[in-house]
Amino acid sequence: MKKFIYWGLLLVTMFASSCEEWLTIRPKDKIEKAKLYETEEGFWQALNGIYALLYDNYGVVNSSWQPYYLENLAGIWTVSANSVGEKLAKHAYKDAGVDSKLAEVFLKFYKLIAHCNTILSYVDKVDFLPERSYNLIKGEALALRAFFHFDLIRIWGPMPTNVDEGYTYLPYVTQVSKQSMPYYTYTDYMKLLQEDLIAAEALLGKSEPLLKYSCDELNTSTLMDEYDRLEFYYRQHHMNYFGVCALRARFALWMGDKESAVTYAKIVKDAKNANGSSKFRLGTAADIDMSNNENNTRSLGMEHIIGHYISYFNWDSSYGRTGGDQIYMDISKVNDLFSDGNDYRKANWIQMTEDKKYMTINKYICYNNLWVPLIRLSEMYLILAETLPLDEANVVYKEFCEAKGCSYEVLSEGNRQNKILMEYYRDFLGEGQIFYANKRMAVESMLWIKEDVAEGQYMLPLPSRESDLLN
Amino acid sequence: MKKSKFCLKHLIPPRQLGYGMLRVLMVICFLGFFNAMAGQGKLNQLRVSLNVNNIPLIDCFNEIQKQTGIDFVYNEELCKQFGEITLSVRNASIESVLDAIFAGKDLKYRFEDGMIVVLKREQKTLPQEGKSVVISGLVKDMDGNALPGVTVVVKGTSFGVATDEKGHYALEIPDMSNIVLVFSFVGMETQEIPYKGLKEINVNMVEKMNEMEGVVVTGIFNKPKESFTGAAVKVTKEELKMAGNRNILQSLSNIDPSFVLVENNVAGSDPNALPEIRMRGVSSIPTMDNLQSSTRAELCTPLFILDGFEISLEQMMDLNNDEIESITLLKDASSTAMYGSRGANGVVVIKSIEPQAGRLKVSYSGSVNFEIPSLASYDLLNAAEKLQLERDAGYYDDDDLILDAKLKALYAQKYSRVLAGVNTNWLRIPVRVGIGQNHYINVNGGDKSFRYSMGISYDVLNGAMRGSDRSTLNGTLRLSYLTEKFSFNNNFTLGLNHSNQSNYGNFSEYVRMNPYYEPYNQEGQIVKQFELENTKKFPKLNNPLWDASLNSFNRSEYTSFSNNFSVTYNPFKTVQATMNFSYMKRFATDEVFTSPSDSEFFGITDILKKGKRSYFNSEDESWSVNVTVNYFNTWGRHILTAGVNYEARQSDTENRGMKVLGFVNESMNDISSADSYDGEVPSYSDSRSRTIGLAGTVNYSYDNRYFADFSYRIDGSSSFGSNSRWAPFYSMGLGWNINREHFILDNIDWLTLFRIKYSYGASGSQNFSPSQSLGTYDINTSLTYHGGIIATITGLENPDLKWQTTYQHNIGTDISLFENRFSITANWYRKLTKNSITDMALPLSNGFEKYTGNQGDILNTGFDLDISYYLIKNQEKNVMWSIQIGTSHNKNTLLRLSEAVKQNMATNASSYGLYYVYQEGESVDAIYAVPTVGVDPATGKILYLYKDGTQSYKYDVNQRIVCGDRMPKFDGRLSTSFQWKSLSVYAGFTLRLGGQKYNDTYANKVENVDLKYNVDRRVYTDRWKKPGDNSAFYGLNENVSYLTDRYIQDENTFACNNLSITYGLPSKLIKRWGFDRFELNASIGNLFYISTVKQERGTSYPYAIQPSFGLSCSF
Repeated sequence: MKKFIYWGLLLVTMFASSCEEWLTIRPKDKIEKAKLYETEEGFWQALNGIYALLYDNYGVVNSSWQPYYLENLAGIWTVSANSVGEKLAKHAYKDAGVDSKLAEVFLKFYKLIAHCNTILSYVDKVDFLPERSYNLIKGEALALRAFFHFDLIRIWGPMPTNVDEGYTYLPYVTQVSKQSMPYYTYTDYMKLLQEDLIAAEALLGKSEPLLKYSCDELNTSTLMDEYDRLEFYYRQHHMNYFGVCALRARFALWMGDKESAVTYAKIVKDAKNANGSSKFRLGTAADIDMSNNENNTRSLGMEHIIGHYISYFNWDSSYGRTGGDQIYMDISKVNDLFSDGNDYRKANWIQMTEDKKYMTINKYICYNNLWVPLIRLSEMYLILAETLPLDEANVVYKEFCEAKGCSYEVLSEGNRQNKILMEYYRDFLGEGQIFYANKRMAVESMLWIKEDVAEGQYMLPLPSRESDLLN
Repeated sequence: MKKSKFCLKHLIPPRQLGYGMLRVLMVICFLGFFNAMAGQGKLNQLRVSLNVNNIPLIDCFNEIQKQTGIDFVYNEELCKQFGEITLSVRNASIESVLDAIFAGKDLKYRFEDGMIVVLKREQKTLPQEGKSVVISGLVKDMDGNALPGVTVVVKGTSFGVATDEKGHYALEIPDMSNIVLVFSFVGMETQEIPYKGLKEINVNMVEKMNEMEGVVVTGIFNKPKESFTGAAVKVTKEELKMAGNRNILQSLSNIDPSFVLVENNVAGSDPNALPEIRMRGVSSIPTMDNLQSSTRAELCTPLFILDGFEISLEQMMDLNNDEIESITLLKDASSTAMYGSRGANGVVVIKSIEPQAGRLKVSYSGSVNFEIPSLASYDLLNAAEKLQLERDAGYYDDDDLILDAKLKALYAQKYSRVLAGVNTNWLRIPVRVGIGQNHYINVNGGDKSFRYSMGISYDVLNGAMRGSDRSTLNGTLRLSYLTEKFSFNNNFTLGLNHSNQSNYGNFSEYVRMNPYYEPYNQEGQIVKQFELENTKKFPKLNNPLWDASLNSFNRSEYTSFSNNFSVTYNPFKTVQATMNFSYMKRFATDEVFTSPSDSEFFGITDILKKGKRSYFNSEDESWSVNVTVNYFNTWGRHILTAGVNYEARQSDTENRGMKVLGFVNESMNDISSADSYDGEVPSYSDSRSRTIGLAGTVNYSYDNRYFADFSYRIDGSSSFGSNSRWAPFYSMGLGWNINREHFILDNIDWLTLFRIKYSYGASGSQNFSPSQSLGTYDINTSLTYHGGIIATITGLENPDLKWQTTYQHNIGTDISLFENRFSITANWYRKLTKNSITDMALPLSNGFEKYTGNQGDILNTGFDLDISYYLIKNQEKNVMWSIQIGTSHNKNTLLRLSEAVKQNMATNASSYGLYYVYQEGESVDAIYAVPTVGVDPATGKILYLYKDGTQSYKYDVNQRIVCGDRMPKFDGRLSTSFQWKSLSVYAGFTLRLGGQKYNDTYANKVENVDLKYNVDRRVYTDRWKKPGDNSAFYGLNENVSYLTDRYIQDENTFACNNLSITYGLPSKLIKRWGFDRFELNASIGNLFYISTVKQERGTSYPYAIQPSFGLSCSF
């Protein structure tokens, strides 16, 4: 019997000692979350992941949200009958195709946010991050989280002039979980958003490479001794300090906080390099001449405060005249918009070869790597022109018109809003901002849209896939 | 048979001798399974010290047993005759002690299977007066070897002798009426033979199936069959052999109707197709991506355990029948709970043949197998009819006059060919009579302590489609070394498999070819394409024979080896400990090469885009360690069996693959000759899992009447989420052997067995990959972000992810009447699966659509029933004729589904073809379709019946209702076997009743036909042609075939699975040739198939009738 007990004890010991660790398996073809965040490298890789995923909603191909579907809400593009684009242009949100497209976009936004939240959930748990890296990683993740939430509320939230204070519009998500995310009122949501922006501004303000060097100096893959990581370069393609300022300006304008809008727009507009030159400058006709400089980009890289880039982008086959998904509009619309023939922005339009009736946008042509803007300097000029006292506004507006090569007409209180809105049309076609501008200005009769629009059209309903599960 | 004076000392005290033979046999069985090794030819090494004074002989035996562990078998009354013993020895060999004890007494002893058998030294005249008879004879085993030491007793008395060295016995007994001789020997079936005046009675002793006869082999713990509460079916190798000879899975299904092979009408008799297997229904829901795919089937596959080690379905399929000793199907919770998180789909325990002691023995079996394509289900139009049909349908008319003229000319051209006698039977082109062979050779031998067995099997199966084959070479080497307390066993197996898919491609490609096409032109060359004339109505059509003539291939092969080492230790009589270590490694490759000349590349001009090859490689490695301790004891009327098992397992599968494109020269077809990757870079995936399990079981029986079972297992698995790492499983059961009650024993002697039992328990299944519970990042290897590496989240992890649990009730009964002449086994079950692993929908604002979670309940209820009856059972004349009837029934109900599955069903509803719908309250096998009123005789259009009773010409997918169930209500087996001396005949049939089938032929060959291809004859007869026709199918030129109830037919099928004849040549004849055994056999599988559903069977690969002729012998 003693032997039996001995055997029994041995068994129990063997069993108990085979600990949890042995049962935790690390896959070889993937990296476990906790494992990734065991090194600084992992944090940067996860951050790069977000920028790579931006393509989902901020890419440029037809199937993408921002340059096509979002702008169809403003009735911009020529759409084929019964397409999702057409339904969107008619604001027929109940259509199943539209619902499923919107669900896809909605999900992708929150997926990007989940990526930010994963980084943020680990960044304060570790102690090995150098301060500079910590500031940049956390700052960028916070700013990106705010950026995505802002676009979400601009689409699925109310017109800023028509907020229902008691209504919970959307979740402001700060964690990754299987639990349903709480929905917030507009005020609470915006408060959280602003807190993220403030925190991001503070963090990035401490360590932003762009504060020390110019865009051009950092747009290189040759590493300086001071900045030993690739992620410290191409800051225009990261959520940098000035990007946060620009976002704050955009946010303040939406919130009707003119003062802050001016402050932050000025920070960006007046930012100077060490040698006294402007950090960002408005693009001119010379900058879209692709023949004289391989670094030129028709999307005006010098104006990009933040953006992302798509490598090996073949404009012709995936987007352009010869194939792929094409977006186009009537020649008459383009001509209406650019009555001034000198406006170089018209050169971003080119006739389609097959059917001479339409023009397609030329903005995203590139040699190799496509720069996709998220906020451009033009917007800062337009924010200033819209919010500054009229005399100061005119100075800024004149400067803007000169750069764009169009004739300058004086802004008056009466025409200011409309003129600025038209500039949004001219400058941001294919960049998704036009719908937001209309919504913010509460335009009832949108250009190229026959019916009057109001809250019901401006505020998109939650995808049924989302609302069904909440009930 | 009720009483026997032969007993096993120490397991049953003498005062309980009355408990009967059954008990004794059971005890013997236990000794067997404990592998009692004591002694085993090492008798001389055993030392005994004895100091006794005037004690009975039996007590001496007790003392020796205590010291050596060796059991004594003796006739109690005989031993009592020899008075008391006085002896004093120290450390003497057991032999010398026994010799001393038996000195001067008419007793002798014999060492037999670890026991000492005490026998009378010589035959003495019985002390009775009057007439006496002398009976003598020879006792042999089935192989004809003389058996020494067999006890021969006159039933009801203590008179008896044992056979001598030559197996001879002689017995003088008073001439009484009703003399019955009882022949018994350890490990052999006891036989009773009545004396009818013959002076010589020769007996052939039959080996017990093996020592496990009275034991339920569960693969972990063996449980006494007498007191087992679970539902298990044991299939012996003889049964397997009779029921079929192609593959084990088919044979098992032929035997037990609850082991269901779901009929696969697409794959037919493809030797390389893995079947879908179900035991007691479907208890898993596939994940979203697999709702319609074949993974659905894999989820139901039971667990296969070969000698304690898990094997895959494919390995199981490739096992050779001759290697198998027995297969046990474990169905209910009581028998599967000890498999914990793997047991819910049922367990199939395979035990391979163990080496036997004896002289070197070689056995061989071989057969020639035929695969004859069975094309009877095809009823196609001939050339003239087809052309006429095309013409009737207006295929040669057009409004465009130029085209019309062209078409008319085409018709004339085809017509003239038909007149010239062209009528190609395309069905015959890709098929053949496949001739395969199967060989198995085994060398076996050894002594009491060292035994070996070496076997090689080679099986070549040439399928009914040209170029399709599967060949398997299995080699096994088993060694065992036995000492008193230890036994060491090592099994090494090697498997090589090579299989080819037919280069003729898909059978349906040939079926659809128009019979007025000729595959070869006048020069005898293969025609590449038909319909080259540009008529728009007839597009170019590739000749499938062209692709078949190229050197394209689709082949796979694997090499596997496994080693199984076990040590068994018997510290005491009551305890046995076994440690087992198993290791398996398997390399497999799948390769597909498509020649650059293949029709796939006809339109492509770029030479570097023609020809492709894929290469997939998988490497499996698994090991497991098992420690099992068994305990067995009896006190008075109590019998207790208990066991503890500890197990740790790891399995790892790595897959690598690549696809390449661009072969300039079709004979240079190695991967390295390709121009580029075909779209994607080489792929890699890895799945690893680890499990630890601790299991315990207790079986208690009181007086062999009442018994109870309990088992418990706790499993820890790496696949579970970190928050729910340990899964408990359990089972309990109660049973009652009613026939052991005195009111039955005393009154009803025809009731041999009447047992009822009940069990309840939980077992699990874990069909998910470890990464689903683990949050992971994917590293993008082909893109960077400005040189920085990109990591993105793969999905939302679920650290709470756990096993799904199946709770099962089982009520069963075993009844046997008239000495097992008539027996019934019936089980009823209710199987509820909870926490089914499924996709869970998330609000989109979580950032992920879904995660893998536990939600969903599935209920399976049903029964299985087996009846067997011996019409003739005459052991004297050696004639037996028996009938077995078995049936199973299962009802499946999806009780609860996750939102994600419901949404998927709502958004992905398809209007065409057959697809799976998962809906609460219905079965997973329900067939959904929109009911129809019929074809409107006036217009030839279909009138649909909506749910609300309205009728419409418009098809609406949302109006689907359940129109049938794919699984039959009753799945039945009927078999009969007849045996007369060494001739045996077997016939097995399948009967399926009450199910429904989606008639694919109706849908695609009769109604939704594309007249450019050949069609079923019923197009001609059954379709609406003119107003007023009352037909089931709409007009010829209507061509939208939605999923409607018109294609769903009631299925009642009767088929012959196997018919076989075996004949053993007379031993006198074969002895002369030097054989111990020589058998000839012939069988024919899939002989016929009769069904109420008339459809083309085997659409991608035809079914085959499978005759085979073989022999087996040993020398």
